[in-house]
Amino acid sequence: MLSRLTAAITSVLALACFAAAPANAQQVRVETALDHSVLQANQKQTAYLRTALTGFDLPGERGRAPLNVAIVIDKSGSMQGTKIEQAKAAARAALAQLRDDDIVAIVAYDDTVEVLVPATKASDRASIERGIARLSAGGMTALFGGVVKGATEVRKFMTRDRVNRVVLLSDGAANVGPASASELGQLGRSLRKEGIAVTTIGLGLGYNEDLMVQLAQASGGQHVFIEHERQLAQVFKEGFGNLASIVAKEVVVKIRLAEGLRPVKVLGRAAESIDIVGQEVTVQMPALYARQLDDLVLELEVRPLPPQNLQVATVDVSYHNVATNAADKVSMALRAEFTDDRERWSRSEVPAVRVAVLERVANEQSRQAIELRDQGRVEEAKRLMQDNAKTLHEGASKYGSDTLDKLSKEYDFDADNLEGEQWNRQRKVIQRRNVQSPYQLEQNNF
Amino acid sequence: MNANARLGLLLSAMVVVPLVAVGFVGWRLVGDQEALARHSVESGFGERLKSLDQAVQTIVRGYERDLARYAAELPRTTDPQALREALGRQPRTSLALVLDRKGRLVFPPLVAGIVSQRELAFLERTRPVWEGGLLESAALLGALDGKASGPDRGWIAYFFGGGQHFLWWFADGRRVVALEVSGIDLMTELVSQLPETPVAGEDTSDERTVLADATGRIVYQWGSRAPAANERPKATVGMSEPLESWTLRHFAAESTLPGAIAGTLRTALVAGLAGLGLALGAGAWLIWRARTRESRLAAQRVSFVNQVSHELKTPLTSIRMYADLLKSAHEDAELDEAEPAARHLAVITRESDRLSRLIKNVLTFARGQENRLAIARREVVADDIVTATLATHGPALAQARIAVETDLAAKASIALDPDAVEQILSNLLSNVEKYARTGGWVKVTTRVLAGPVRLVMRVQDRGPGIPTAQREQVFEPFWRASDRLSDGVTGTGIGLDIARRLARLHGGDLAVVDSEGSDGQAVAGATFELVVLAEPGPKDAS
Repeated sequence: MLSRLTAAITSVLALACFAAAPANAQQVRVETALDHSVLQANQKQTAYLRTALTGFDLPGERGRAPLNVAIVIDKSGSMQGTKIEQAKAAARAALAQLRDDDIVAIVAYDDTVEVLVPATKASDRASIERGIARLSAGGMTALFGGVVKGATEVRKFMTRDRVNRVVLLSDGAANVGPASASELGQLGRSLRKEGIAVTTIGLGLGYNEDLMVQLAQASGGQHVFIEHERQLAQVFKEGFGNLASIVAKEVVVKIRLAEGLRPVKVLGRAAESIDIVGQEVTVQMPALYARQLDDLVLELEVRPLPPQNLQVATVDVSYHNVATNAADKVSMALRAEFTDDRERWSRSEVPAVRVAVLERVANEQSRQAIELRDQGRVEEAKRLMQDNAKTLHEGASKYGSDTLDKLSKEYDFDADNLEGEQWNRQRKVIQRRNVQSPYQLEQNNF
Repeated sequence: MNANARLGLLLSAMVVVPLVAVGFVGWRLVGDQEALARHSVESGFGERLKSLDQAVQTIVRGYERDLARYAAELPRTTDPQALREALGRQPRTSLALVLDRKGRLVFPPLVAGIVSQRELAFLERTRPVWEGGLLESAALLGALDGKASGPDRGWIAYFFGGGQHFLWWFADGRRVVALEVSGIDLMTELVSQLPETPVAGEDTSDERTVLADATGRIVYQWGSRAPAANERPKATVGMSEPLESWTLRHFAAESTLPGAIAGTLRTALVAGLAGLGLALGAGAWLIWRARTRESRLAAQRVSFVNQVSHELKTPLTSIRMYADLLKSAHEDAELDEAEPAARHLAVITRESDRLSRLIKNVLTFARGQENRLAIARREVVADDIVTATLATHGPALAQARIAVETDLAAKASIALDPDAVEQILSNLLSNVEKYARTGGWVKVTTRVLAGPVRLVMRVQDRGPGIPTAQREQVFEPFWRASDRLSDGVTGTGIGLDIARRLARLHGGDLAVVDSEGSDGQAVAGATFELVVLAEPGPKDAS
C-alpha cells in the first residue's frame, strides 16, 4: 500500500510544447512532444505526437526482478544435428545467466510436448542440466502446445514482481495444433493478459517469421532472428542478461486528445495492442528495459482552430514498476500554441520527433512492401523500399541522424534483395525490424 | 467287421468325440474370451476418454463460473467506457455483447466515434448472433422476461475466419450479457491442464491421445506413440458442450493383454484336453481290456486246443476206427442193441464223433485266423451230405429229444466242398442241440436254385430265437447270444464264425433270417439260411 502511495501521480503542465516527467531514479522517464512545437491556426493539418519512454537504471544486480522463465525448445526433426546441440548450449548459457532465486522451466516439443524441467529454482542447477541433456530431436512441430505448456510452467510460480516469460526457440513452422499467425497472435494476446510475454527466437532460414513475430508482438515479447545456430549461445547469454534488466512491465500508454484533434493511427505498431475510441488512444507497450528507450508515434488530424494556447493532450503511462514491485503511473499534459505565423511554425520543427516519424512511416511502408512482395508484386515493393531509402536519406542529412542514415542503407539493401536466394533471409530481417523499435534492434532483447 | 474292431472304433469315438467337442467348444470360448477382453480393453480406452471429457467439462465449468462472475460484475449501465474498463480487467475475456430486455444491442455502441475498432471487428464477426436473433431467442427462452422458465445461460459457438469462437451468454431478467471466449483461449486453458508426454524413457505405454477440434484438426496430443497415417483410433469420443463437435481419440498398440489371456486359457485348455484325453483313453483302455479279456482267454484256449487237437487227432482216429471195428464185430455177432455193451459202444462212437467235430472246428478256425482256409470243390449231391450229417447227429439229437424234420430237394449234383457243407450243417445242428433244445424240433430244408446255381439250405428250430439286433453278432467268434442262454452250455464259441467263413469261401453266405411257418407267418425260433454258390467263387482260385 505504501508503495502505491509513493508511486505518486505526477502531473506536469508544460508551458511550451514539450513535456517531460521528472526523472525520478526509480521511475520510467516519459517525454512527449509534437513534431512541431507550434501548430498552425485556422488550418487543417496532420501532426504527429511522440511519446518516448526510457527505462530507469537498476540499482545493481541485487535490485533486479527475479525471473520466471520457461525455455521452450523446438525439437522437431529439422533441429537434428548441430542445431539441437547448439540449443542445449544456449539453454546452458541461459542457465549461467540466472540468479539462484530465478525460476526456470524447460519444455521441448515435437508432435507432442514434454516438460523436461518443470518450473524449478535456478539453484537446482544439476537437475536442470540433466533435463537439458535429455533433449534430442525428431518429429513434427506442436508449437502451440509447446508454448502453452511453457506458459503453464511459468504460471506455477507467477508473481507480479517477477519477469514472467516464455522463451521459444524454433527453426520451423508449426504443424500440430493451431498453427496460423493469427491464432498464435491470439495466444500471445491472452498470455499478455495474464502477464506472460513470449520471446520468440527464429533459428535459421526455415522458420515462419510471420507466426513468430505475431506471437511475440501480441504477447508483448520480443522476436529475435538468429541465422546460424553457432550464435545461439551468445544470443541467449545476452538475452537472458537483458531479461534481467527489465524495469517496467504491463506498460500502458493512454493518450487523450483535446477537442478538435482526432487520432488517426499509431505508426508502426501491432494493431492488437492499440485501441482507439473517440478521442482516446490506448496502447499496450512491451516491457521496458533499463536505460532503454521505447516510443510510440501517433498521427493526428487537427481541425482548423483559432490562434490560442491549448492543452492538446494528456498522456498517462501506467506500468508495473519491477524495482519497487508496485503499480506506477506517470501523467502529463501537453500544451501547444496555435499561430498564424507560418514561418514560426516551420521553424518549430522538433528533430527528434521528425526522425521518429520518418522512421515509423518508413516502417509502415516496409510492411506494405512485404505485402506487395508476398503477392508477387516485386517491382512495386522494390520501388517502395527505394522511396523509403531516399526519404530516410534526405531526413538523415536534414536532421543529422545516424539512425536514419543507417536505416536508409538497410532499406537500400532490402530493395536489392527482394528476390533470389537472399529473399528468404531478408524477409526475416525485415519482419523483425518492422515490429521492433530501432533502439531495441540494437540489443538482443528477450 | 468284427466285434473287436467295432469295440475299438467305439472306444476311439468315446475318446475322440468328447475331446473334439470339448476342444471345439473350449477353443471357441477362448476366442470369445479374447474378443471380450479386447472389447473391454477398448471400452476401457473409451471410458478413459469419457473421464477425460469429464475433466474438460470441469475446466469448462470453472471457466463458466468466472464468466458468470464477470457478467454479474459488469456495471448496469450503457456507458461504453465503464463497460470497457470493467471488461478490460477480466483475464478470460475482453469483449462482450450486452442486449437489453427487448433484445436490442446496447453494447458495443453501434455509433461511429464511440465504438472502437476492436469492438467493430467483434460486432462484425458476431453479427449473426446479435442480428440474427440467436441470442434473443436463447434469451427469450430464459429469464430475460423475468419468467425463469428456461436456461438463463449457455454457450453459442460460431465460426469466423476459419476459427471457432464462443460466446457465453447470461440472462438475468434485465439484460443479456454475452462474453466472448476465443477458441484459442479455451484451447490454451485446456492444453495447459491436459497432460504432456512423459519425458523420453519414462513412458512405456506407447499410447497417444488426441484432442481434435470441430474441423478435425489436432489441437493437442500427448503420449509417446506416433500413430501411422492411416491408423484407426482404438477409441473415439465426442465431447460435451460447448465443444460438441470436438473429439478425443485414443491410439494404442494392439493390446497384448487379450492375446496373453487367450494364450493362458489356450494353454489351460490344451492341458485340460490332454488330461481329459488321458482319462478317457485310460477308461477306454480298461473297457477294452475288460471286453477283450474273454475273447483273449477264449482265443488262448482255442490256441491251446489247436495245438492239443493235432495231438488228439491221431489217437481219436484210432479210437473211432476201433469203435467202428467193434461195432462191426457186434453187428456180425448179431448182438442185441439193447445190450449194455452195445449202448456203451454207441456212446463211444457218438462222443468220439463229437470230439472229432470239435477238433475239426478248432483246426478250421485256426486256419481261418491265419487266412489259410480253403475249400476243395467236387461234384456232389447236397442232400447226400445232409442225410449223412443228420445221420451222424441223429443219436445226439435223439438224446436231446429233438425231432428232426427234413424237406430235402437238392438232388442235383453240383460242385461244392462236401466237407465244408457238412461242417456248416454240423455246427448248425450242434447249436440247435445246445441252444434250442427247448424247441424240441429242427427242420432242415434244402434247395438248389438256378441263376447262379446255388444250394440254399435252411436250418430252423423252435428255440428262443435270436433278437434281430444280435443276428450279426452271433457270427462273432466267442460271442454268445446271452449268458442266460449259454448257462450250462459248453462250447468254444467259434462254430458260427467258421460256418460263415466256409460259406463265404463258396461265394455264398450264412445268415439268420426270419423264421416262417409253413403258412408264411412269422413263428418263434431261429432260422439259419446257408447259401453256397456252385460256381467257383473268387476265393476258390487259391
